Amino acid sequence: MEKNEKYTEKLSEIDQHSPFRVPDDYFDNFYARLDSKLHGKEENRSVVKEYRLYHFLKPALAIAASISAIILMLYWPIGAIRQKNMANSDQTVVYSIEDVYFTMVSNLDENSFYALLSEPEKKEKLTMDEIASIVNSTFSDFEIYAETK
Amino acid sequence: MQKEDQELVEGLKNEKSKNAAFKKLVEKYQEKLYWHIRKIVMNHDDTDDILQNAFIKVWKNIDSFREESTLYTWLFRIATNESLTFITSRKRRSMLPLNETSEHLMSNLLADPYFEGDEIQMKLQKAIVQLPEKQRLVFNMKYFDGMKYEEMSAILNTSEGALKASFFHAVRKVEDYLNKND
Repeated sequence: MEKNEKYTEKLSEIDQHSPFRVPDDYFDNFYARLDSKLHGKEENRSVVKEYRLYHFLKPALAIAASISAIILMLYWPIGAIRQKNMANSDQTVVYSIEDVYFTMVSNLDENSFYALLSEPEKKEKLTMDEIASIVNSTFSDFEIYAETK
Repeated sequence: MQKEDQELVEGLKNEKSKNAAFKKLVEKYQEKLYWHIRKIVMNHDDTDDILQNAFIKVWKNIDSFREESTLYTWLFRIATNESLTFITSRKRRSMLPLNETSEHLMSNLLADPYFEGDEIQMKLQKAIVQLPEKQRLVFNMKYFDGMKYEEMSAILNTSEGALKASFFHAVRKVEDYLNKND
């Protein structure tokens, strides 16, 4: 205390040492923590360049990913709609009697096919019921509808 | 400048010896700077951050140290500025009015788990916390650290006369507080 500094009795009574303490080993460990913080900051500078490149590409990658997602999101619904439109189209498929015959024969197994060949012709003509039975077993309801529309 | 400090500065300005010199510098001044900062911000964790930042600033700016002042003065000036900047930024972030610093410091003081003083020391700390910033700085540096006005003037960049006046007013206010709260 300098010569002309005089405190009142009250202030003079108080201990002039700091009433605060530090955590145990604080000062012993301080330099090590400071050193890792200091050199950690210096090492981070070398990572900054890589980060900058990634940071530059990030928006481009994000845009590319967005466009891909949009295309995929539109592709399936559009594909489904196109298939549906094809099913609902006015185009009809004409099946000739030969097509029906070849379809029936191609579905036969080998033994049934030879049995059919060796069988005498029982009838020269098919009845309407027989034709209807063949058509029902060979074609779907939609195909029949398309033919008869 | 003391011979030891002169050698430290030379070591710090040399890339080969910078690490070793820096370690010696930290070990020599860490406690003094810690307590100086602690009295300003009244919180151990904040003090720890500020102390580290101050030393990092020394590491980065040692080449610009012109040695017009002593190393001691330069270190204390950095630590003081870092502390005051910290308080200002804390005020801005918490939207505190400028005159509410003492309330913030008071709450730090009351919540401090590292306070080991008695009742009268707590009263003294409360009295100090309520001083204006400059008076608080001067009071702490004079009363607790026993710093000379010449040193304080170099650190705070304030004339000795202004510092003496600040200290006089600070002492009066502290004594009034102690008498009122006896």
